[in-house]
Amino acid sequence: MNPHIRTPHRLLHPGWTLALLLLLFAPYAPAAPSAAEKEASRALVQRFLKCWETGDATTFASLLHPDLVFGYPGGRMGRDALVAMFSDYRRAKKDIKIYFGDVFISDGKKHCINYQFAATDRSSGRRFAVGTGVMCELADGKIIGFREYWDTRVPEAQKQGELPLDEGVVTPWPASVWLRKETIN
Amino acid sequence: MTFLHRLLALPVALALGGTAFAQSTEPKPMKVMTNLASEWIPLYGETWWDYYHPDWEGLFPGGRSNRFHDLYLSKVRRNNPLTVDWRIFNRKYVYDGSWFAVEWFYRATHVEDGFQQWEATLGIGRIKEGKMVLWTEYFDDNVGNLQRVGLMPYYEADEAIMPWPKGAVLSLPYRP
Repeated sequence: MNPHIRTPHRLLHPGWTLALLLLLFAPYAPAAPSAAEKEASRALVQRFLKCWETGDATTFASLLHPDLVFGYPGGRMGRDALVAMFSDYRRAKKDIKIYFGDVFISDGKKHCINYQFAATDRSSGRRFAVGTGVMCELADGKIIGFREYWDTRVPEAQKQGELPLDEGVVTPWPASVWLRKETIN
Repeated sequence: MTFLHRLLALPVALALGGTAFAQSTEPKPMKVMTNLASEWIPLYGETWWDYYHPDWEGLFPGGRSNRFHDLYLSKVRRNNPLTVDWRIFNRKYVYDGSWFAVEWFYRATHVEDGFQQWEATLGIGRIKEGKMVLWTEYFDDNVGNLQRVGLMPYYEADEAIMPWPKGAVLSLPYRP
């Protein structure tokens, strides 16, 4: 028997069978982005967020996909509503600052960033600085999904003087506050 | 709010002779040592509180904690858990080297009155020397508060994860 002829038996070698099964049934995992791709995603998301600080409404709008779904603690909105809100918001607040944390996690499909949003209410003069976590998706070089998570108790407590600002340090609650038994639920 | 509730569960687990929480302060042998989150989470993601790094730091709505503060809190909260029956589901992970991020739903039952809260959470973690060294949670604790007073619905069973439920009748302006 010629040993170089591939018989059906060889094709069904247990090793090949296992490899095929692994290929067929391995859980889906997106290919990791290259360093350049990841950096481009980070730059886009940070550029978008920095618009709150600079007031650049044109850039802000240009980075939003027409099918955007923007979710935050308080509601959700599409691209047009967000763009309209941007200008209104800038009129109601001043000294807006965006501070980025150390985190940018990306698998090429979804991206996670944390930052702190600080602003002063023009009417009351009261300031807040809220740590925020974001999960987002991009499509066609624009933001198509953006979900912001933060605790709505924080800005109200800061405006009432019940929590420190700890501005510039990106944590869910002000960085100088240690977990207390009263705040665990 | 995994960590917070596990923290509260510690005295209960000790009282009941449980093992998972009682062992959380003890070194536990690991099956595989890896810093890759994509490998670590499938191995330990259901029990990661058993594998906290000695230098771990936790950042939560409510404040920060670490190994020493955790011990203090377990003392002051002894025999007084606020919630039980924690459920974490619809986990959506993103892996990136030793880092990971996850969105999930969290449900818990309050011991005092049986009230159930259902919130969405974004968690961020980092693995170092095969153990969880950083764990950060972002969520709006007012979701549970509003659910308690009947002003916020629960999420629907098949609803995509968002910071607030789709059926919320209240709305807040963006960062008022």
